[in-house]
Amino acid sequence: MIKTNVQAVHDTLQSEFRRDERLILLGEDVGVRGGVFRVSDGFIEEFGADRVIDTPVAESSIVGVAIGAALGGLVPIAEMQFADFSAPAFEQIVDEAARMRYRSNGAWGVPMVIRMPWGGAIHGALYHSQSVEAFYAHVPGLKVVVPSTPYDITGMLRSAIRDPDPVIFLEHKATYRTVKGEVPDGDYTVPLGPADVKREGTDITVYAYGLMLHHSLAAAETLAAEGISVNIVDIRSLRPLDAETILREARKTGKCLVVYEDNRMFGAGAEIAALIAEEAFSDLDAPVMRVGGPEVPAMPYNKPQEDWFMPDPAKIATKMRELAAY
Amino acid sequence: MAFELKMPKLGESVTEGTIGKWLKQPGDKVNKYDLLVEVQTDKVNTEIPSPVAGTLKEVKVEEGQTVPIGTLLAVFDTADGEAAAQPSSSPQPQASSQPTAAAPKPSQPAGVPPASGRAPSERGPSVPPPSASRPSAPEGAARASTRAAPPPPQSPSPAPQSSGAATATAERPDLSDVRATPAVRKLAGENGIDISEIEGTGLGGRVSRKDVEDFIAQRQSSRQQAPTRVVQAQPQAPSQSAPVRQAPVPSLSGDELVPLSQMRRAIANNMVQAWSAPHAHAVMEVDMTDLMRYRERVRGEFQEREGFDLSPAAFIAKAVVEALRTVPSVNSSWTDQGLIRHRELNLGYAVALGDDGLIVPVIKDADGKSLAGLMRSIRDVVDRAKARRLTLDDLSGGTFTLNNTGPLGTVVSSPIVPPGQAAILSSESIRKRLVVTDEDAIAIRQMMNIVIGFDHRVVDGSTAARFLTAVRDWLQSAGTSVPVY
Repeated sequence: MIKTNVQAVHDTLQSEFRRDERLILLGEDVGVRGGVFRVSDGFIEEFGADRVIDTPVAESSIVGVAIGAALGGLVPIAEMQFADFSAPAFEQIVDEAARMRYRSNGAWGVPMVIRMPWGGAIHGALYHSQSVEAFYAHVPGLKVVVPSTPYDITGMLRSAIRDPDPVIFLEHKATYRTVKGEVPDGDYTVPLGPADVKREGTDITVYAYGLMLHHSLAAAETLAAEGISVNIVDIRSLRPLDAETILREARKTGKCLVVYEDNRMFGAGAEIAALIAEEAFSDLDAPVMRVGGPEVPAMPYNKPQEDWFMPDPAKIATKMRELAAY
Repeated sequence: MAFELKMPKLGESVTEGTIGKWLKQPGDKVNKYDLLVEVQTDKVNTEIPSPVAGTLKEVKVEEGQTVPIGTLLAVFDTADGEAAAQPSSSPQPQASSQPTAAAPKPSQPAGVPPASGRAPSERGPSVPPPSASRPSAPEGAARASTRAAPPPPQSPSPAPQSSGAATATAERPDLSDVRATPAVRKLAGENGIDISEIEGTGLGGRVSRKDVEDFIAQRQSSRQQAPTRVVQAQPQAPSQSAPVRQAPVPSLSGDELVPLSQMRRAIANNMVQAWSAPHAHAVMEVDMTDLMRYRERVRGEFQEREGFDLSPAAFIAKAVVEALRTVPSVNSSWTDQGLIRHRELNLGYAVALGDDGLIVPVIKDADGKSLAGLMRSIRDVVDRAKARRLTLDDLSGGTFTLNNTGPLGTVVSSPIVPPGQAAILSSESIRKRLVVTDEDAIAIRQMMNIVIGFDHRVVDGSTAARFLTAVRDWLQSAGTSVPVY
């Protein structure tokens, strides 16, 4: 069945709620309102207010309560209404959820999913456009995944819910309704970790996730018409990071570009670029290049400045050409 | 000093090689990069150049023997080699008579091959100077041809980086001055290539990895055409020892000898070997009407999502995979010890390269792929085959071959089974034809013939027919609604 990304989240949550009654959903406006992105539309009617819980505007307590519920035997899905708002919950996520397994010597885990709609290009300005993946991908003990197609979202959300440890599940909100794709029936899962080659090519290799994956695929199409064959790897999971696929695809072309909309400096692309430089040095035929967000504190509101901030297919294509010509 | 030459790794998945002809014999003086020995792997025949200068003391592996990588092939005495290499690497007569002041400018005939026996000053101005620009095809050929002729002259083309081309003589240039990425250095090193000989197409004239790959390919093909080196008929693998008699060829005026390309030779060897299997063929008709309608329905969205067309070949490949699951005995190989049933299902996909020939890259683990996955794989191998970017690994491991002759317009053909496989399927062109249906009505249907060629030692007619039936049934029923992803 063809679904949008947001439908995939909704349907997967719904079927998992039906499958396992230990699942609860906590967040701002997830109940009566059905979620600001309509992710939990119809949930409170079907599953009741005990399982679909409207919380106060206090992210620290959303995550804190979810951690307690998880330790008590439930499987909580904590929703950060926007990833930007997860900052107040940072302490709970990093100091408690991520470390529970370690500090209890393996005895306790926190089987919890924290969903966060993230990313820009929706005219959301400073507080509704941020990229937070690098903050969390820096922390051992967390899993941080960024699926970007309905197929991957469905399979990886199932895996995240069934994982015995905390998973940060990032959903790029600009792709919620713009990206559609086939989702097969049946209870398939996609493991949390492996990257996926979304387009085979021979001249350069591009690594991306989220909205940038789709922009990169569009740019690759432009370049194909110019005779440049672009290989595209969907990173899908930042922690764990699939070094094997990243390096294999780097060696294939010897020319690598990482595309991400987060601030370029210290972003996820820096880690990927460093990995390639360390492990695939002798196969590189060009410096590893990056396209990323500028050194600006936050996403501007007005459209010209937002466009200037965001990498788009044209900017990515320019960088791809530069790399191919190197 | 003794130097031991071991069997090098010749490709990804290549674990052994068969020694063809030793081009040098024990006692021969050998210069560095002289071609030493021909080695055949299952897909590629190549020559190993000598990594050292010296005397070939002992050959450890006989011609025709197959040995694993790392096996000791030969022993050299290199102390003797240093002295022996001296005369050949000393400056050529014309260079010594014209000291460094006469360093050639790029526009001058810098690299007159010494074989011509004439000093540059003897050349009249009317004689067109050999081009000093770098690797054009004929020059590459000249270089390769002189390579095999002792004593080796200096490279005919000067490297502009080293300004004193005449003083550089036979010394390999110091690569530390040449700007090259790690990948280029590695590839050049593995193939014994001097990067400064290559013209770069990258930024600011940089030599890219692709430039090196192209250079290797060019060197390979020019070596084949080198007039000084007659390529011997390749001895076949031991299983195919029967000598092939050459049919008498009429000699007519105006005849032209077209040298065999490496691909032409490989195809010939392969086909002769394949012919040792007793072949039989069977044909079946498939009604593709419903499937083609279904394809029209899903095609637009596929095109939009993937950026290329969903060809009938993907459906046929899928049908073959499903049929091999149903009739697994077709996915096997003949050996004298017994039949080998393959659990892996690696689909060879024949790609025509026009007059250049034909190549069969292999789609590994084809049974794990969706329709879209197969289409992507097909497109990938076809693109890379046409760009000559297939690797040895792409060509190995096939367990069954699909030969999609439909686009060529044929309606029946008799495909030859690739050596090591049990069968091959040709899918012919899809044409509208008048057909009498099961309901005794006359209808216009899109019909396609499928032809199986099979090794009758492995598969019998009834099995072949069962396989064809499975392909047909899948295309006529399951294939008409198969999920694309």
